[in-house]
Amino acid sequence: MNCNGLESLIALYVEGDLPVLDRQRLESHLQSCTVCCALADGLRESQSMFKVLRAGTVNSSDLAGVRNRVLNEVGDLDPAPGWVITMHRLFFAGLRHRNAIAGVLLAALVSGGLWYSRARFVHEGHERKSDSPVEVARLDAPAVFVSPDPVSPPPEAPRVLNRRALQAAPVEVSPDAPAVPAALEPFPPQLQVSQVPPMKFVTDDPNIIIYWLPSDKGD
Amino acid sequence: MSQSRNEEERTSELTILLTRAASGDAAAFEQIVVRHERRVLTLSWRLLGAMEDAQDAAQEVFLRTFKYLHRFDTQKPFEPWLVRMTVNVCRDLGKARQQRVAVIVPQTDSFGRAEQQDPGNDPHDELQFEQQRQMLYRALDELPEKERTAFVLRDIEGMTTAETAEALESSEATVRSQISSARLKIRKIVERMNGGRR
Repeated sequence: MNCNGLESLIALYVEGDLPVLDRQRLESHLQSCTVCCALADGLRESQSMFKVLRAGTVNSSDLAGVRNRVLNEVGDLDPAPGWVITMHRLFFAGLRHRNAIAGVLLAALVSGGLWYSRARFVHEGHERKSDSPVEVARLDAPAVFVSPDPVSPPPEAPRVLNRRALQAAPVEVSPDAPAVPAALEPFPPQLQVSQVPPMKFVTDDPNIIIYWLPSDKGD
Repeated sequence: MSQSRNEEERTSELTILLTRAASGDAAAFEQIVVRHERRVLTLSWRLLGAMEDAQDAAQEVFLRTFKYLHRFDTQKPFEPWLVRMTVNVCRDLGKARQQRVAVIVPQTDSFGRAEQQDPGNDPHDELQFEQQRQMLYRALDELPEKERTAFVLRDIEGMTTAETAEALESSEATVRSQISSARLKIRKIVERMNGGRR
């Protein structure tokens, strides 16, 4: 043990504030180190000077002055009503206020988090449940084909349109454009790549729109 | 054996007084004040240094005690609660008045050595004692507020480290560090005040 950092230990040692193990190690060091021994003696002396202050006490007139002031003030104060005391003991259960309030806040936070995550889980599950039949119907539906041109061979059937959708939104054929279903909206100009107008199939699902872009030959 | 029985009797008596005082019994509260006023005023005086401030602090402590007595759990010891409140009130008061100026030199007429005076004492010894005490309080006044409070509670009030930690709402390790630092500083200050005679 060297003297570095021993000052604080010696300051504790002189008043018996060191644990047994540290005390024994320090005592063995003090036997061989005069510098640390002098520090310990100096600390003992200054501490003993302060012990003198323990003997002092305030006098009776000061005490009486405080007592009178307190009792005069207390006479003007209303004590807490009985129900406040009962409720306080019930709610705080002998805990310190800040601990009790912190506990309540923590419990509220945890239960709020649990409630939120549960509500979100239920909501997502519900959405997934309501989406699934359409997806299944779309995938398993039989192929439907609307021919733009009765002469040309039928294109490969789109696989995403179901029969029910077709019935719900039947394709109307305009007299001006007999090869194109009339229910279809005007096609964006940038997509008009051939002479044959493209076709747009509308289903009952607003998220599903099918465009068919035939070549000049009608393929 | 009989001492512990007396202690128990006193505790149960105090519990009754506290319960009565919490429900507004002024006579019961007066009994509590009488029992604890010396402790509270002395501690306040040691923490604040000036008797006038200490009286204000003690008054505030007892008024808060009356106001918040319904919060106190009578199953727990009363004195640590009161000491903690005293420390807090003195801290607030000290901050408010920026008390750390000049000292703490308690006047002989306001500090209670008058009560312990032996008429046969040598006036010269009295004077020397008074000078020494003033010097010690000046030394105390040079400490940072937290170290000073820990030092006063542990080394002047004679509380244990655990009691000091409870009063300061701190850990024992922190209190040990504060009192260790305070003792070393006090020693240097006292040496300097004595003119480096050591």
